[in-house]
Amino acid sequence: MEVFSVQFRVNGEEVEAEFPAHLTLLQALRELGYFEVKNGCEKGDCGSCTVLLDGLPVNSCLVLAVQVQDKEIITVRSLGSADNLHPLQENFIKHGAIQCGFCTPGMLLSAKALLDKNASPTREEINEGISGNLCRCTGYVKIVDAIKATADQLKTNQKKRRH
Amino acid sequence: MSFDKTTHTLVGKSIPQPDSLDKAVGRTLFSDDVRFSGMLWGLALRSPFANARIRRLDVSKARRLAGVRTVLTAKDIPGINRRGNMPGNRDDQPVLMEDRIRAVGDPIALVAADSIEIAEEAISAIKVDYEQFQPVEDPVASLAPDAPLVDEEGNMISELGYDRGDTEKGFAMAAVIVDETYRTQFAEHAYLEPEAGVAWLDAGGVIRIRCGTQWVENFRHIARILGVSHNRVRLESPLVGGGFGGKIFMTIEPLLALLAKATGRPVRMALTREESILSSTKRHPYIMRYKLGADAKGRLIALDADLVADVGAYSDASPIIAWYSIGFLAGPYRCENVTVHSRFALTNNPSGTAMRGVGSAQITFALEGAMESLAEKLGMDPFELRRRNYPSKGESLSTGQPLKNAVFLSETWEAADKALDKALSRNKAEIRNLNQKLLRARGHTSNMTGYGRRHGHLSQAQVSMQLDGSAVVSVGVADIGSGQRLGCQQVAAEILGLPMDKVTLNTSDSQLNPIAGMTAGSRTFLNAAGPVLRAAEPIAKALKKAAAGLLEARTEDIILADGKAFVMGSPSVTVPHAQLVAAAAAAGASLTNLGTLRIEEDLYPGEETAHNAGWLDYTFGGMAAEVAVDPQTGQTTILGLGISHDVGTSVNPQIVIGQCEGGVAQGMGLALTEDCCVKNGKTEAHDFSTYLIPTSLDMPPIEVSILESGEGEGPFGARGIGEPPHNITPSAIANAVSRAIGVRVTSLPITPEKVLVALRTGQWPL
Repeated sequence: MEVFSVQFRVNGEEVEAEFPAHLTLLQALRELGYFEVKNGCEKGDCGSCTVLLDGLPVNSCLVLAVQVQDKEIITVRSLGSADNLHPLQENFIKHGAIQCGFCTPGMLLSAKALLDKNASPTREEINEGISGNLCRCTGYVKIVDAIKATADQLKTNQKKRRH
Repeated sequence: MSFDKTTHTLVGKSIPQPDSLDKAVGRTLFSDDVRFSGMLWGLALRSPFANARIRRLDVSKARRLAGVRTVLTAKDIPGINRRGNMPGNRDDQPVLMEDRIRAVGDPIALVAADSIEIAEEAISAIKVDYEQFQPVEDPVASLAPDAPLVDEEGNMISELGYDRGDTEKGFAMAAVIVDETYRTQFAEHAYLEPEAGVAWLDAGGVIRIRCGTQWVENFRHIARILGVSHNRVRLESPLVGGGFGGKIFMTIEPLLALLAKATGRPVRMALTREESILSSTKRHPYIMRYKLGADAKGRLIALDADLVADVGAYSDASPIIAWYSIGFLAGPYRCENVTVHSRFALTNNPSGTAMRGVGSAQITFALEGAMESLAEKLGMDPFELRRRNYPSKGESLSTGQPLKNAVFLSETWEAADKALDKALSRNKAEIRNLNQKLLRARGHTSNMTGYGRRHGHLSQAQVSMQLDGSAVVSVGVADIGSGQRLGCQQVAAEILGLPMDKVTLNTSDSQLNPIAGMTAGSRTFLNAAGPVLRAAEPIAKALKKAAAGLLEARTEDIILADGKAFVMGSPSVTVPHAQLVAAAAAAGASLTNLGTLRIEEDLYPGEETAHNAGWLDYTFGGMAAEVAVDPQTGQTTILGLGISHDVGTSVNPQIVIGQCEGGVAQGMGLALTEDCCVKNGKTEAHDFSTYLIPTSLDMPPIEVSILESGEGEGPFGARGIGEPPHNITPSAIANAVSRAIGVRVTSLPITPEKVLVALRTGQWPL
């Protein structure tokens, strides 16, 4: 099987690997040990495999690994760490937005992409922003609560910094 | 059991789940997230046909391929080729098909190979010569005398029922009679994590399986299939990425175990979404004929319910689900003349199994629809009708079972209605902009859901104090995300007087943990945290006794809280738990203790005909929905939902509310969009672009109103809340839509097509 050499960055680290043309970015990332990228459907329906590709949320199952040459990929691992949580992670925990947790890595990254674009979204805009990420446990209520709380928190912090 | 919350420090607190942190940073290792060196890929060859005979099966070419380590068929199973799954069923499901195929997705052969590509090649190299037959698709036709047999023992796997009073006489006396037939669909659990796992050989000839499950006790079935004794199989469940009943009975565990045993190598399997939906179990479709009779005052004087359930291809958990449904058919109503009857019929459709609200969600939809029709015919307010027929605490259900705890049916109905007002007030903008031509209405419903088996239930847990005063809880319960581990942790911390982080959990391992039953049936706080409480109490007593000695006080005056002991009223003088542990150990107290919960309820009159139909206790609730239906498109929009349950004691309000919100979302799916669309025995909707579970954009404002009677059978007086919010939702939505369009909704899901037909013809289509 013909393979192609690809260089890219994952969570700030250089990765160089050889992939066959048919391998999806989801499969490639999991083969490289990024198990936080979840495989829920491999059809782009569920959003569990969401990663940030040059800052934009994508279903990694719909991207081929050979397409990410020179690109920057962010998984939930570099959003924050256990002793230095991102405010989104902190609020997901605090608000009970995590039940089984299988959708959580993708959901957090879609939320991050939304807040990067729109720092003070309404509930409707949040629903829109995470509509590509299915959750079967929470009914999305606490997820939206957590994202809203994060946006409010970040806004307050910004104000404080300005003064 | 009644409970006073004020004397406890952790009960009633919204403490986050112990596993949320790992889940939030992406380091939780789910079923498909571990790898071993030398690990093989496992794949199954599955039948594309629902009813067929295997004329010839040739695996020789597949076996010869380089990199293929084993190819297994029914002949290669070392033990008994039956899944078992649930004691009391027909034991009719082979692990690998022998000659007869009864369902799409039935596994015929297994392959383990060095890579997925080789495994796929081997699967396509297997030759099967099928003789195809017309699948039996309709459960009613399946029961006809000349119907083709799905199973040699006959197509009816269960026929149950009971009579109370004289139903015929009741109807003769009735001022008003309603006679309606309701239908529900095949529904998919749609857990986000597809079935996956690994199996390997461990020291001492033990086969280990790490696979997400709701029931680690399945190890016994696996041992029977492998032909080894129970001590040679160890099943452990990592944190499960959603279950909802679909991972109680074995999924791929026996396939993994067979491949690991045959190859002596670690083997991994992971189903694709399509394979998962095509081969997994579903919620049973029910056909329910309800005949209700009331006198002019709205007193229910006759109830006749006849249920036919589509079991699908294998008996699985259907015999017990049939009992549960018998327990629910007459609902939470007082009625002297009752006849209920159920028949569970095999077909060549996907197998029905437990799904959140097992045997109850369908019934609530039908019975509460019929109650609405009865109220209409009587010209009576629907709440007034129900209020005249709700039983009170101390009265009995039609099954004969006395209701020993609070029955908050009126209370939850009213609270749900108020909650709906609150939900709608959060949706003012959308409501203001609604097209005036939309048909708007509000609908209500009541529901009861059982929790806890009544008879012969035994579950155990162990609590061990560590020398520094922290504690470890060991309990064989699987966590599927709804707080099972948290519940055990919170109870242990409360009883032992420890901060949450000083209690860790060791769970869901069939060999390391005492067994505590399945994570199912709204029972887990009762059945897992219950024995934890019993294990912790004697230890707490020993610690208090030690503290009494050190503080020179009476044992009964000692308070344990936040890792310290003090005398009631003097919280400034404290002794840390580490010191208590040392003193208690020196005094000879055991610091490791096994707690046992055994449930054996007294018999009640009527038990002989409704045996097994009862639960230990019930959770009562009410719900209100407001909808807008577009008469042009038939589209239903939910404007708001209000839901209320009496949870006895809300031990962790955030968990309780989370269960309500999540259950409501699933109920919305069942009401409006979810349908497996089974044709020729095959699930046509086999991905998330065709099987439509609610997205964030589908969610209306939901307001949850939790009531606390203080009466329940779980620790601190809690009642089960996993399933009730799901059970109740479709019926609230259906009752609202019925009122909006002026036609009784008698089947789910409520699609725009059906609504348009109903508006045009005045009849709800089948």
